Amino acid sequence: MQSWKPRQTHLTGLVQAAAAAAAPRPAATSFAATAATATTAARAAPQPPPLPTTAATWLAQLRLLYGVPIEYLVPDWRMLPAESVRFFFLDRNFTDRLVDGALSIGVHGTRDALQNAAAAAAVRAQVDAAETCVRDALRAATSTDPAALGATAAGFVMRSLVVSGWPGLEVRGSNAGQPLPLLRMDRLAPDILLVLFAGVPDAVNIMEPPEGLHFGVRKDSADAPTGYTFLRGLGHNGQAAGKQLPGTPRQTVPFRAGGRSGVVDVRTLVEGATSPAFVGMRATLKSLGALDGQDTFTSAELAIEMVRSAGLQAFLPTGAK
Amino acid sequence: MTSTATLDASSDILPAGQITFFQAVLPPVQAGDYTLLAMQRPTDAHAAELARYEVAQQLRVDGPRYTLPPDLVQLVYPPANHQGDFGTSFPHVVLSSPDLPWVRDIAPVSPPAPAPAHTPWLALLTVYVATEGELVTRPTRMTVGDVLTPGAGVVGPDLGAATAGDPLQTGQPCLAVDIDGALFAAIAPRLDELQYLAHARQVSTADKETGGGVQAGFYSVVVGNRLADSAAGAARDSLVLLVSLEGHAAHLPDQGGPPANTKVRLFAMASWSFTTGAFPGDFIDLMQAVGVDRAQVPHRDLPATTAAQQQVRMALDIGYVPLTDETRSGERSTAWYRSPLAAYATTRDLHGPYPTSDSAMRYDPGVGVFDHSYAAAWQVGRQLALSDASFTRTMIAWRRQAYAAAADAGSDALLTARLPAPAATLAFDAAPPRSRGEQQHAHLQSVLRAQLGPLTRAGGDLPTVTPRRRRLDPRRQPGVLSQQSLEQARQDGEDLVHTIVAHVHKDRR
Repeated sequence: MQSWKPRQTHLTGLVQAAAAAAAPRPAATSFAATAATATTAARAAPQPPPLPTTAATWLAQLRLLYGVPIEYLVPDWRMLPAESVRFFFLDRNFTDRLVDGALSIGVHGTRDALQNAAAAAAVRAQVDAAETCVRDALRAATSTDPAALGATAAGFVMRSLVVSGWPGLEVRGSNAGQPLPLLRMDRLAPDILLVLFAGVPDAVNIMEPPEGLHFGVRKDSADAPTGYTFLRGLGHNGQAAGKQLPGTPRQTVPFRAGGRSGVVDVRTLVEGATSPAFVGMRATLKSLGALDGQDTFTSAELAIEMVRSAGLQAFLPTGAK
Repeated sequence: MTSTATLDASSDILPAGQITFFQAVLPPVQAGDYTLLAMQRPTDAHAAELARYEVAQQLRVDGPRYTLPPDLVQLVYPPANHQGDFGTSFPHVVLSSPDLPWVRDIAPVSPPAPAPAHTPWLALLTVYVATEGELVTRPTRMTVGDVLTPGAGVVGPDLGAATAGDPLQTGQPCLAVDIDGALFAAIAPRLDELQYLAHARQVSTADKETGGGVQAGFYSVVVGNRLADSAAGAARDSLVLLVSLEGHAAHLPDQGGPPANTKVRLFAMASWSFTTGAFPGDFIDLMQAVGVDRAQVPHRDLPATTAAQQQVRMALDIGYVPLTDETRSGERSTAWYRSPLAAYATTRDLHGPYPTSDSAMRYDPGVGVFDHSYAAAWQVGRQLALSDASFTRTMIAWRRQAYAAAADAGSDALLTARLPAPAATLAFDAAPPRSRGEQQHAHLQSVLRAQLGPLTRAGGDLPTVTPRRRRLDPRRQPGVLSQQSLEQARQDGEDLVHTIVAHVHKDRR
């Protein structure tokens, strides 16, 4: 650094220059006439270089508590007993202090400290923007809505057998009916799930993962010899796919004869049989007009008929007391 | 809905809440051994038959065959080792590879009867442990060779003589089960049923946990054909095996079944067990049992009569936790800590950045208790940053860049302050993108022009200065004679060479 003026004056000037960088600076009178000198004037109050994107993303992840040991998130295990959901507001002061700590590396003197102070507002704004993209970047999806930057974030931690038993469960939060984007959703431990919304939800739905919807039958009694299922539309002839057909038609699910119980006779279930006479699912659906023109009935159609509907648990956190 | 889909990387992302079912997802090429044959047949109208050129290349399309990488199993239902009311459910397994059930042919050699299209090679077998546990061995570590040639009384899969004789394959470790032939014939799906017991699903991943890597939301599902074991009033265990039926087509119930009084040896790709009974174990049952609260330590039973008790209760209510504080002076006391998961909303203070962790400590002089939450946060942030070398390098480089920019700005300011540019100068340099050095140079030039131009135009002799480095100093060039001494030497008739030598050595004498 050139030494033509006292160091402290220079540093103060640096802070002021950075602060004034946003506002347009009046051109010095002697420069006014020329284009060439006007560019020099603009350079006299330089924009501090923005934080590199990788660093901004790193800090955004830190803000979303990536890497923060779980003891700092849940300092006392009585806060999160087994089978519990704990709703929270993300403490922005805590996360800003995380960033302050991260920025403090390599600070050797007043110059570095002042540079941090001068850049603080710009860094905060940049990391606010980067926060909304962290999850999308990890999912390799395009950003949906970079809506409220730096707004109050809230979420919940859940410790339950559900988290370990149903990987891929889905969480949807909404505020006044508007869905809230997820900032982060990760498992901290096999049975602990951390969810952060960009906003404060007034309703949260936790859903069974749709890829895990299971096949099942209904039984009139526990030891009934056959089961049955209600038939659903397949998206043909004006019948909505997945919706129960009008008149709640039933399809009996036959089991194989023989000493081993519980084995479904898939062939008869689909194609039917002549003796004893049994109307299969293909024929039943055809008579209901649910199949397409080619009478296509494959494992995909069977899956729509046999899956049990997904479980959904709703929470209204504002009501929690 | 859609019957078949080939793998398409650009497939649309589904809106949340929708599922698309696919009959099958077919790989571009099934796994197996292939011969790539290239042939060229040149022709010449005037010549007889010419020689043909042929080249053959063996290639093998590989894929999971004897074992599954564990990360391919996305989810099993009913959840492994869970207890619940699963008596009307069929077990299934969700695989994170959408085409896995169709990458192999169920009958690699001599099919007994042509299998229907889209027949998967994987199937689930559900074994009722209470009544059939003795008839099935638990998955046991073996080599592939043990499974392919199992010995008397046991039949293995028929993968062809080439595979059975390939030591690279038969030496591989795997897990396998032996199952009683009659039980296998009773519970295994028929060959023409298998096509209905596997399908693919595509779902939106917008509301799911991030997990590792890219999530396409495209899964394959293999469904069992047998309900979970259930009995009124008793808990029953079921064992589910994900087995490879490759080479077992002839042993399936409608293809003749396994030979009498034999066991069937199968590759066990995955297995799990669960318990059925009158327990709440369903998703909804478990979710309803979950306790909901704010993120705080239980405190509602604490007494709150004295002022101190009330204060403690309030601190616990807003999410604080009392922790032991070991101060630098060695004292032990109690300090408050609140995690970033706060029980109530906080207001963001924009006083930062805090240069040290101590400056983020907070102290309540009324009761003499520290709040170390933000100081701890500062330290965690610093530790995490220090542990990441590339982040550290980026930050230092960024700061250095800022200093360089500030130094440039300073030298520009100094130059223009000492040499103010004249009004109304120059459009002589219209080329805009210039380096800083060029720009400063141009600035200097325009100043000089403005200052000296009038003098030049006024005429008259301007004193000129020769830069020192261009000035000739005869004393420093001893080999050069001045004009005067050259004339002198000529007049005296001296030898010029001698004169030069004498001149060079003059100073040394």
